Amino acid sequence: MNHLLKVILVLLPGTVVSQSFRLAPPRIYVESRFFTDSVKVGFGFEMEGSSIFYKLEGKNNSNGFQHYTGPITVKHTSDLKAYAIHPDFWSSEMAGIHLTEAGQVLKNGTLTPAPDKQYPGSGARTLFDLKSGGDDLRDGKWIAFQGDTVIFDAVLNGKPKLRRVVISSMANFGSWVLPPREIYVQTRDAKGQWRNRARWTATATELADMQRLPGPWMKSLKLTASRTDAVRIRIVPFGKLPEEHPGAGNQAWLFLDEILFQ
Amino acid sequence: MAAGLPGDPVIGHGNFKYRINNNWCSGNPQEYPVKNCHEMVIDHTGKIYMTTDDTRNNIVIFNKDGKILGAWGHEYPGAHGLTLHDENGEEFLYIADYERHQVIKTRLDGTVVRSFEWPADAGVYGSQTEFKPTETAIAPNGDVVVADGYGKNYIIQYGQDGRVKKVFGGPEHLKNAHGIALDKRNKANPQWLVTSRADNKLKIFDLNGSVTGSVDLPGAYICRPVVHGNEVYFAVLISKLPWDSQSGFVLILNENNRPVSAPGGSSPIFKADGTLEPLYQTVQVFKHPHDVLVDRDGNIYVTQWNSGSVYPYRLERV
Repeated sequence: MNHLLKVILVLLPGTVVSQSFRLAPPRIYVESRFFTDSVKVGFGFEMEGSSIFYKLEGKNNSNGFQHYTGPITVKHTSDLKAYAIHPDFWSSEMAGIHLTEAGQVLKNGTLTPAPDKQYPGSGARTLFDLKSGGDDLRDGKWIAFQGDTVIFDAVLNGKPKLRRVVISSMANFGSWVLPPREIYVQTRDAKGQWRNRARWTATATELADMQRLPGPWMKSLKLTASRTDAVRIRIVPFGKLPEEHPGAGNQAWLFLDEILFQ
Repeated sequence: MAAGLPGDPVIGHGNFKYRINNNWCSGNPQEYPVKNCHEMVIDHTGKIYMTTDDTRNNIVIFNKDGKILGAWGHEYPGAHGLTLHDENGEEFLYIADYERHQVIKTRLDGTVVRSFEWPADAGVYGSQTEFKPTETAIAPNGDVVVADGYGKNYIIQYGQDGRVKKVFGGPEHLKNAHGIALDKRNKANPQWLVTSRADNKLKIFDLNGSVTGSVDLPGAYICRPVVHGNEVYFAVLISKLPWDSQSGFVLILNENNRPVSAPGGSSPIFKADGTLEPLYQTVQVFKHPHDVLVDRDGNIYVTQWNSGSVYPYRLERV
């Protein structure tokens, strides 16, 4: 492909070249969406004559799309986007992944109630093992609940100053899987009292997006900064599936794979 | 026929490359409506028969140029598997209907010959509704062998009189036993090829029902095996979960059951240890391909499930 055409394609992902079929987005290979120091990311697109371009957006990363030649190392929370091109097809839609740096690794954690028997994962440990769940909800990296409010009590290493809690869930309306409706965060003070530090309730727009957009779902809650050795997180599920759903009236499933403390 | 234009994009690998013709069928959807297009077979005159679960016309008949010649059938709400078999000079169809929990044998004009019922006395089914057949194949001795792909994953072998003779497979060996075919490539040792779709494997059974082999096809949710010449062809419904991910393609194995081409999918790449790298969609030609039919010229006709009620596409070999 000549250089000029390549430049045009880089600038305009989604550009039609000559034919009516679109490439699929490239595959993203990463051990986990969560990491402590760094994480290596690769892309896959085994098709003769194709190329991949990617862009990293986040702290210290604001460069444009670059030609992908091999795995890249990501050291900070970032959005990674990539697309594929080929001279005979429309360039692909964007593939994307949000990579999240974990600040505090927990000492311990307990969960009430226990996850459903169908999706036990590794129990409470699933929420702080830094292993992200995949598309297969039975991959053992997810835990799930149907209808229950979930309480996660976390014991931190030392008494760090917490600024943020991130909850990672999944949306797949067709599979009865929806993210939480409300989240409450409390921290324990020096006297052993639980103090409210953050609260989130889904807006109407957020509720609609949960039903419309399948895929990993994350919510970051900013805390009023304070030192603490323990955090209690109460996660309220979506509740009953709405009228337009084939399973209307049944409880939606809540899937969780990680809770991060930053 | 709306032929593919010169210069149309080519997909596939090695000696199995194809030009895409997504306008192969010139039918009128008002006259011949389809919902999910499930499977296709071709008779000795070149007429192509297709199952759809649209009860306004469960069997749609095409010629090889994509013209619809007619249709029949209103009583097959779960019309899924379709197998054609020549019996003493007359060709019959076997329709696996998972909603009716039956396989129905018909003449080519739709006249019902007999049905094959749920194996009530086999000891593995508690009720008729547990039996949801998806595919049929005919044994060398004429027995009718049915894959219970949406039910309990058993393979049930019936005599032509409808009597159950044997049950094999089952959840121990198969996960979503969606399709079955008699593999006669080795004439001295015919075998059953059975797709274990949900775990991306092709399982091989001898004619006694014992497992003799397994082919790992990571990423390939293969529907039914179609043996044509020395190759085995599959529609790959999806290459990642969820089941409606619109990530399908076509897959071709050579005489050693080794992937050689994946039209619409990634190049088959083998690791140093000989295992196959996971396959995935690269070109969005198909959403959910469900079956393939290969004609004498090597062209592939592809039906699709849950893909906007489209008629089959044709991949024209180049």
